[in-house]
Amino acid sequence: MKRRDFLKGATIAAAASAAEAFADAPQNQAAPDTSGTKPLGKIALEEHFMVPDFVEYFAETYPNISPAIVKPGLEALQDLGDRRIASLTGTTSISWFCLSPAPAFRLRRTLRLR
Amino acid sequence: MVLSLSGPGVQVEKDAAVALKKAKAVNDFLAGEIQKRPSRYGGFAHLAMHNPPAAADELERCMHDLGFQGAMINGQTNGDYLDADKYSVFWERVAALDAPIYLHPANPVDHPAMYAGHAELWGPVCSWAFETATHALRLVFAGVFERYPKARLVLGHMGETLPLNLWRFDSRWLISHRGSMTLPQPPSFYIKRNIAITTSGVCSDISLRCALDAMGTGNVMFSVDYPFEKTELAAQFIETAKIAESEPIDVASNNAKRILRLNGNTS
Repeated sequence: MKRRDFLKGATIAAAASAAEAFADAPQNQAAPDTSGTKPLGKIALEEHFMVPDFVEYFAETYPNISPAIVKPGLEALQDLGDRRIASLTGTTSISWFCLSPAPAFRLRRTLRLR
Repeated sequence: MVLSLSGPGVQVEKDAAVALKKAKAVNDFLAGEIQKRPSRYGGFAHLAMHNPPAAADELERCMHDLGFQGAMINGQTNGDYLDADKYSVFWERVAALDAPIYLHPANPVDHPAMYAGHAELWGPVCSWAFETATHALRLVFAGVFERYPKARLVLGHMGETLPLNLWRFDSRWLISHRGSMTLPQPPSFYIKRNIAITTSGVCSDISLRCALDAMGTGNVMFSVDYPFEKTELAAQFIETAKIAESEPIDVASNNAKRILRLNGNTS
């Protein structure tokens, strides 16, 4: 079979698997059994978001990712509310680090933004 | 979780003034979102790297006035990498602020022939790791960390392949075509002293073990890479990682608390 024919045949299956592999898709990778383990507080450091004004810049990465995850990706990136929080606390027995800014910083931030 | 704008952001904006204005706006937006959920969210600044002094000023504003934890930079800007002389003023401020700089992958300005006909390699599968690892090595070999010992870089994706190659960097550096370039210490010294890594988008015990052994337990921090990695998978990975008993809590939170100077507790 020629390389081109092989790649054509694989196109549909590849698109489907890209969507399934995306973060919000139903779990398709076997996750370890954590029953009976003590929840571990976590701080996560590479957690992305998007705002409408910057989508044109984000489009520069479209050649890097499957077209199947662009739309759900943008939707997930632009949600900074309940959906994102639910993804943290959802079905896993985890707890999350609570950031506690110093009082001076908290005051400064309030003055600046409101 | 520490939030960051998904790249490349204004780093691909051609107009430097527009880039600076929009970077400030998105940082203000993020500060507002953090204020809504201060118990959940922190932030990395988005910076317009076209103008290094202005980027340094914005980093300082974000650290001091908005309470951010550092900044995320998405690869090169108009073909300039962070070891360029014009960024000395930026690194000086980074060191003074003790601000971690998270170097996130992005595309180079060219498209190397090696990737022609293989779009699947152009991005997170392959090219981003080597682009970002090379960018970090440029900083090491240009002496940025020798000149600014307090500067701290953070690399995602289990260190973008660097941890696996520390020995070879030290060995081959000695016989490389380096001209008059010298460093008082071997490359691995700076990588271990000035670079921390995260587990973002890599849920592999083998990779984690390598990273911990190569970089030191204190230099590895947990991340998910949301929404491009499943939160549940990443969380369960670190919960059950086959590593020493004391290591998971360091990776999950203790190292981030220390490196990002976070106050608070895990609940």
